[in-house]
Amino acid sequence: MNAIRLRRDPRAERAARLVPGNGRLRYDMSATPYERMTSPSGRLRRDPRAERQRLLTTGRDGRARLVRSGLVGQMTGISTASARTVKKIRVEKPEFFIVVVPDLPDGRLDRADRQLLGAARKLADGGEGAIVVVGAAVDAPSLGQAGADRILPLADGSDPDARVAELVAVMEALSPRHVLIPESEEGADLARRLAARTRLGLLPGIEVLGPKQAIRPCGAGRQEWAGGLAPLMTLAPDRVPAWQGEEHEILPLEKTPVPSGPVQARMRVGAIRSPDPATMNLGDAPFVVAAGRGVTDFESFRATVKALHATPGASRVVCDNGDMPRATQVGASGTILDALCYVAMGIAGAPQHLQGLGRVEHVVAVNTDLHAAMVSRAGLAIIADAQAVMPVLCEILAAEYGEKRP
Amino acid sequence: MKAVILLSLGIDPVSGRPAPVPGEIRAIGLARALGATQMIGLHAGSARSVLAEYGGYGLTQIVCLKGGETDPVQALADAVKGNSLFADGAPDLVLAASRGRGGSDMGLLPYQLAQALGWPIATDIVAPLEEPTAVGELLLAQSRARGAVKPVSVMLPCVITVPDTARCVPAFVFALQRTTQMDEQTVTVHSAPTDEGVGDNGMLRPYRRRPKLISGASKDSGGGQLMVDPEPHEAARAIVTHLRALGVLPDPDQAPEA
Repeated sequence: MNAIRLRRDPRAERAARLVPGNGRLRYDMSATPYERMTSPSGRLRRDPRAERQRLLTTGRDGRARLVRSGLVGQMTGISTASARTVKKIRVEKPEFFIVVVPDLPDGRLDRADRQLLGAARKLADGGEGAIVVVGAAVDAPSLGQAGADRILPLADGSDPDARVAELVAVMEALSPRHVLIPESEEGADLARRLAARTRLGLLPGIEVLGPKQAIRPCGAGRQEWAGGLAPLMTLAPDRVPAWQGEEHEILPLEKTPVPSGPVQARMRVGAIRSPDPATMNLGDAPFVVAAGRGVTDFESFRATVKALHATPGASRVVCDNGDMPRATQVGASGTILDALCYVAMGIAGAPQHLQGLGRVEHVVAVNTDLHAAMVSRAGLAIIADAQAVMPVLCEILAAEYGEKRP
Repeated sequence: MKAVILLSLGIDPVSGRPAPVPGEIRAIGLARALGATQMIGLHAGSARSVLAEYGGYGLTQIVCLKGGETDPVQALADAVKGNSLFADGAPDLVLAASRGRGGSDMGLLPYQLAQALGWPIATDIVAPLEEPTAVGELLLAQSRARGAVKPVSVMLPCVITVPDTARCVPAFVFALQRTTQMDEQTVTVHSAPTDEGVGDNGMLRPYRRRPKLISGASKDSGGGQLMVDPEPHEAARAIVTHLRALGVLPDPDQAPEA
């Protein structure tokens, strides 16, 4: 130790940090009291935070990065330039085509359709393939983001055989390597019709899909079949992730199919009919309003259910008391629901009752007990008396819908 | 009306023992609901005792096509077209389950049979619709998600498939099962065309349960909005707003759903 260690004077340091002003004493503790901090041995003190702050820059993909080579200005220049140009993947000269027939409910890509395009992308990126989406008109940007390369609009008819005939014409024109269809209600029917018509191999309900191998369940779900890919494949929902990569550019299709002649209509499918919620089967109902012990006025409850256009449900106690029919019981010894939304009026949520909410996504609870199990399960929980809420709910709905609803 | 019901050798998904296929039991019930006066069960393959269980559900005559298992589509099409099943003419209806249970479970055979017969095929039919139709047509209810149905009008003769979710389950009567008459015919099928692309290159192994992708919607259910002791009006307003945001309640300016 060759130098004399300077003794710190904490009072002087503190006094140097004093912020002038009247009233209470204020100290700015972040300010450095001296021009340059020196250690007791006389060496300059480093400020690692300030150094890091100087090196910090925003990288190409918007993430923070440290540039230690002194090229901070150049690096930021690159990042701004790349952010300005939106890069889209173009598949110009495809070696093969993959035809995707999405369901497009309400004219938009749904979850299963995006997963289908993700699976098709997997197959197409194994070589230099292009994905052709065959279906009703959908906006190109959303299809490009989902991973499609070409669009082929298709007439939307009520006859499934006519649709199959159109698809056969598309397949003759493009001779795709694979045709991918979702294993949904409509898609499953279409794929099998296509397979029977074209005599091409079909692999339905695929759960695992790779560039070389597909796995599907068979043998009453006790076995699985693993093997090579087929020309026609349908994909089970929620098995393959949707395309997450760069957006693809939709290019015009090289070949256009020759429109097929009119097909003899042997079958007509009408518009979908929703069932009457008041009388439909509880297990199928999309929207259920249920009463528990917190409900005593069942006339008011029935009026609320009718006003909400919902299916009535009940807990076991209410059914035991004879206030609601046994067929409306929800739970382990009643019906297991498949509803989208469940409104629990005065139901605490016994475990046996909560078993009945198997696949329900959204729960609304009206209960006086803050600590009830149903309240913790609910997306909207109202700690109030259901008896008081129900008539007001009826009034609001009557005022809004009024004469529109019978 | 004369109906043929396609029967298969199913297994129970839990125990793996031979059992009737639920869709085929419901096909018997649907054939009755459609007003079929004569019914025959048709099975491509040799006779097995498990097929007699269908008799308990009301199918008292079953024909087994021995040797037809090499090309079931051809064997069944020949039998349906050949006018040998019924004394007075060809059948009007062929009913089958939407999916088999225990084999490849593809649900493709009814479509191939309809193609071979040149008949239309109506799928996922759960009930007849009681509405007036043209002569020679059937009006049927096709099941869709959440209890909805689509009306399907189809020309006779046709193939109909019945899903496991149909409610037309006939009662099981053991005495009927005992009186079931099983006939075995030996058929020869000339060609067994294999589908292009799907060969025997695959392997069968025990099913392995794999996790599904988690949907975004189910993650944020629970732990939501909480209102403690609100005014009843405030609470009711919150419920209406929440239901409208979920899409189960239509907006007041729009026409209400049917």
